[in-house]
Amino acid sequence: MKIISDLLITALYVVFVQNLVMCSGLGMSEAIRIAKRPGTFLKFAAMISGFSVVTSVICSLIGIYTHSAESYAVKAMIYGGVLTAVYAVTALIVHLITRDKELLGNLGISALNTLVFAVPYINNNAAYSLQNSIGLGLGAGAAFVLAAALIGSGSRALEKNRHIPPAFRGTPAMFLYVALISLGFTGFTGTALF
Amino acid sequence: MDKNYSLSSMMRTGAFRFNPVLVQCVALCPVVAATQNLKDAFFIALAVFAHILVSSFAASLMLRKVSRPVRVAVYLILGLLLICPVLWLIEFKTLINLSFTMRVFLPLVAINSATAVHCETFAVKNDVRTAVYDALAAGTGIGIVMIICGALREIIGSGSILGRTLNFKFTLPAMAMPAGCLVLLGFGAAALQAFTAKRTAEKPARKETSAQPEEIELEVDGDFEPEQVDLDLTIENDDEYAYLLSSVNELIDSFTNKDEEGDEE
Repeated sequence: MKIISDLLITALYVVFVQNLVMCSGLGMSEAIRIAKRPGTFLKFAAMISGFSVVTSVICSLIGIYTHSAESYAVKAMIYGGVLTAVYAVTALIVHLITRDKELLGNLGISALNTLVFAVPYINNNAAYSLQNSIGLGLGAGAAFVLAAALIGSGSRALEKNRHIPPAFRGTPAMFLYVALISLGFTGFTGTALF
Repeated sequence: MDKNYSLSSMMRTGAFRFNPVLVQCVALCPVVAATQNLKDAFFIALAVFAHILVSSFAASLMLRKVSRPVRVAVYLILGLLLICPVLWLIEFKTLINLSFTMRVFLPLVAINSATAVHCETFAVKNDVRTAVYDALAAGTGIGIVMIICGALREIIGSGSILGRTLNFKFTLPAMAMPAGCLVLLGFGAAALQAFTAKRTAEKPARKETSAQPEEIELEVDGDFEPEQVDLDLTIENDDEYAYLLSSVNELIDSFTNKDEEGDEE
């Protein structure tokens, strides 16, 4: 029971309290791009969660058996190598089974982004257990979708708003809108803003 | 074929008019998360610049016949091979004291979206010179935004610059957070948009002669598959480069988006 509660608490924390996209900026470019495609949210959530969980679990196991290198450069090589290997194996399986180029393209976006790459670092820095690592991985996908949904709905509302000054229409208004959401999430973490 | 463009004109277009961060919304993670002060911003900008340059060069020279799923992994490996040895040297062989943020976010540069976007949109479809020019323009554009954001965030957020206290009566800690950087990006993008609109209005003749989609044959439909269709994305002059940059978002969306029409239906 404790394992499940640890897993859920970690997942909920990174989705609703310290949203990895909004509070840390991880995977923000991809979230903004995916926000235009609400029909793909669940697909991306599943893929990002899958890659995050597998990568973070493998990296945690490597960390246990190698007693984790102190150098951040070595850590980066290990985490990047594991992520590339996980992506390559998944892409190879998809290629052999379906040969679906659209799915292969989506796999690239889901696996090779800063959000998935940062998950092993967060595990390492927070000294997370295996269940926390899995929770973090699952939460990463959900956090991404929550961020994309918020950005998408806001962007559509901003596009319809004719009162925005011409210079702020489009990307500038979207940046300011995302800043407000980010500020809201940062407030949940208890950090002093002013 | 004659290539009717120069580094300076591509620099104006790629680094300023269609700035990768402020217009194309790429490389947001390193900008938002890692430019809390000027020193960090400078190092991150340098890493992004080197990564995009090396990746574009390699993509144009060697990766044209490699499939896209393999290429995107190669960009990550190239980035790690470029950044990790430097980070290791800084950590153990120099007296430079990198912040914790830098130690974590410097390797994350290896996976930034700007590299993938510019390599996939330009480098693999053009010759080495064009790819390098585009990488120089994109790297400069990202670097300038990073350094400006880093300086402003340090001044407003911490009341200091390069670690030296400026004795301000108050500071705004929120500026050192991602939200603060996004506010700066919003105002920066608005300023750039207003400047571009003003320049365009001042030069109507130039606008009339700028590239038109039908002339450049950049029509992209839902079934766009660059590996199957021989789409002409090569750049021959300044206007084509500007048009291609303005279409980057649509092009990147089309790389993976076949079901959007289906969703709407």
